[in-house]
Amino acid sequence: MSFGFQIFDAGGVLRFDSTDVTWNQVTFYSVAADSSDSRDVPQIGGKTVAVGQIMIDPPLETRKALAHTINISGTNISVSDGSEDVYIIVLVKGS
Amino acid sequence: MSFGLTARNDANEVIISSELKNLHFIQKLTSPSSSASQTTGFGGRWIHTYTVTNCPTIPVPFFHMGANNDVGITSVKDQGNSTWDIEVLTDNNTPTLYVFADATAVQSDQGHGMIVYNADGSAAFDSRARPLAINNTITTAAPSSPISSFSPGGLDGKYCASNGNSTHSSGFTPDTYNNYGAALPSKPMFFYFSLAQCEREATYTASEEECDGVDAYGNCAGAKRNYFWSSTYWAFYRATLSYPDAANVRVQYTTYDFDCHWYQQTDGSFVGIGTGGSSSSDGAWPYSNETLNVASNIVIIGDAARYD
Repeated sequence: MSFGFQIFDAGGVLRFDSTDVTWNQVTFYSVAADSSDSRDVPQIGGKTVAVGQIMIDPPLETRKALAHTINISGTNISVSDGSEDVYIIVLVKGS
Repeated sequence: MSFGLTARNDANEVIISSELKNLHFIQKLTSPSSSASQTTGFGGRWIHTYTVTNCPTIPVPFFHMGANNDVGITSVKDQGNSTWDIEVLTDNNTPTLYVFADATAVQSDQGHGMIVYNADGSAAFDSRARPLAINNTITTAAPSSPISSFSPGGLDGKYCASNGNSTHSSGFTPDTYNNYGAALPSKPMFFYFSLAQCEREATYTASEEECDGVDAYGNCAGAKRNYFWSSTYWAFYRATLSYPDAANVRVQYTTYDFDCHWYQQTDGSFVGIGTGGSSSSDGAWPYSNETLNVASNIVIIGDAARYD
């Protein structure tokens, strides 16, 4: 490559360079069952956003396990209406 | 930005930034710390728990499995002391987990490289650990039902006698899926958390009459007892991911649990006058007969070979 950057490991193997694509993590947090969360995350402005929702407890077949509803409006992320404890991971990609 | 560092790729996307956090390769887990519930019935099932250690921040797991193997992450739980348990549902296979986390989880004794810090002083990028690079991202949804034509037959109405047998299994084996086109590397790894779930159930009944008196043209004259049985067979599914070939990923359901609940009632009578009865029940009861959480779910695809 004639421009950009390359990152090599200690063995001289190329591990990452400016031709690669990635998702970067902005934040992660937990939202409790039957509660809601709304927060402003300025770093997501103008970027492609992926919000991952991970259930903390293993599945239970004895009750209704509703995932939370996630809404993104501008730089605000709201999480609500779920019956389970979850982790929320916010990833971004773009310029 | 007024200070810090930003590095962009050829597409002008930010790939290193002191305002964000890169994900770095932390651990490769080729075998689980425990496994349970293995069966070849119901389309196959084996539930694994992988344990991530020395990770002070949330682990972001990717998994690699062979083609046509179903895998879904169903739980990530903080066990304290920088240890996390990751539960993985499979259709009876053992995937390899590639665990990523932000740079605060990087452990290295290398004395050279580059670390980028956020304004709060935490590490955002650390060249001593391999950063996550991705190949593709797609949005998926699970099918609305796990079984295209649900009509199990031949199940015994008495005392859940068919629970877990081949008849129960064949009637409840999931067979629906959604395919999504995606160019995959030769050794793909996937970021996918299972959210969609569903339960299907079928109730079978049986009844008998026991006559202590005289059978008069099919009618019991004298004392008799009527027996009634009801057995509700069910299976519970969670969404999983697979890839049928190098150009597609597939979302389907994998059986997470199955069981049965039975009810039995006895009514006695003498010449048409009730003499009392009794009832009993046992077994596990499912929550409901419906599908939940089928909303879109992101799949991030990387090349596992970069982290071997």
